[in-house]
Amino acid sequence: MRTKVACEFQIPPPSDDKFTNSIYSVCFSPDGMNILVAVGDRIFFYNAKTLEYEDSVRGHKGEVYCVAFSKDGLRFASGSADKTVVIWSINKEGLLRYNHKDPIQFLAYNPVLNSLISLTDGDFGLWTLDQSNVIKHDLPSKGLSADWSPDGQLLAIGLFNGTVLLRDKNGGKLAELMKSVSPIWTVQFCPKKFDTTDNTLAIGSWDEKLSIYNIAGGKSFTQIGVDKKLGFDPLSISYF
Amino acid sequence: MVIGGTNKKLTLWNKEGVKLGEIGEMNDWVFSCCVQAESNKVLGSTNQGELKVYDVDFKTVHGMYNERYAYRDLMTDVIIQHLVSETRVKIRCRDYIRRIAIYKDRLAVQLPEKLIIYSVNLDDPLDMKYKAYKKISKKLESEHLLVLAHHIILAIENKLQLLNFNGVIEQEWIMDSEVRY
Repeated sequence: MRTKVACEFQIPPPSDDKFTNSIYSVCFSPDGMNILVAVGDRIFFYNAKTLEYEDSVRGHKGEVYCVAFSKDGLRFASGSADKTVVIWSINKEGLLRYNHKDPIQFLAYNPVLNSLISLTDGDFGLWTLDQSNVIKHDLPSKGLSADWSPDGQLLAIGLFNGTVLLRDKNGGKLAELMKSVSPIWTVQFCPKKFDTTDNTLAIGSWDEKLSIYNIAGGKSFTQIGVDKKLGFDPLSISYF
Repeated sequence: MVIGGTNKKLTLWNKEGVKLGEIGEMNDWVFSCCVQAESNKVLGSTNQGELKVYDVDFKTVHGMYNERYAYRDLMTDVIIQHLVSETRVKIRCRDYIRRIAIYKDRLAVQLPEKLIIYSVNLDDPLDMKYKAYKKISKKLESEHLLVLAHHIILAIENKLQLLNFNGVIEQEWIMDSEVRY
């Protein structure tokens, strides 16, 4: 394996004391042409090949914590410390804004149904194309990370108390996986299935561990191997 | 999969949690990373405003001898294809495969910390039941790898080394310039 830096960009510290230049969230557009970057109260667009600045949008009063692109490439969403989620069209027009009681920690689009989960400290919301209102479900602990299975039927939510919740596509309860006592900062389903019909879920917890599970149907799960000691705390996982 | 974290690095792991290598280092905690699988790009972002896009080149690792072709799959598996009978077998090494060499009844697979030699029944030209035959528990730094009936040959810069299957160097040749092939 050989790697090289294709391009890089340093965002300068902002002049406004209210914000920092921390980049909490990035994502590629599904066609791989653009990069969406959350910095301060804005969302920036960069060219994925050159990292040249292309455009930016502003729709929040607080820092943007998370961005996500829908898999059909028609919409993207941003979640902020101002407790709102904004759904944008591909033309960068705000389509919809909805509120939560707490700052938005994480967003993830369902790869098949194109519904959107928004995670906060106290609950999670599910926005779907065909429903006008966002359905909310309470969480027993702060929500930190979430991902959908590749078939869009399963939802995994990583919590601050070390639990991973398994829910169905409508947010209905399936199972709970007591993983750790440390926060589950990242969960990610493997987008490909190899020689199993089960889903593979990678869990990164803040006790410097990586765990991998087979999830069969959502009700039962088995760990593959043992917890892997990483030597650092994982913050983000992304599959090839 | 790629993991970004408080080690300020982007690292590559296989789906079973075996570390395959480092993609790159950044200026602070990597808050978010994203893979673009079609173009083999990896994007990382940090607490201190750094954005980096890496091109990852997964080189083809393979070997061929007559009708047998062996190649690396998913970084940690070897697939051996018999081109005449069109049979194929898979060996799971559960570790990052650096190099593969094949010769007659032998197959050598170089992993980060060891080299494993597999063999099949030489009398049966269609035998594909590869069994672990010898193991050299040494970290071998080499650019090229060849396997013979009872030895392996390594090329390291301008040196060619002949090792037996116990990992002992039996012969060494020094060339005037780098061994390329």
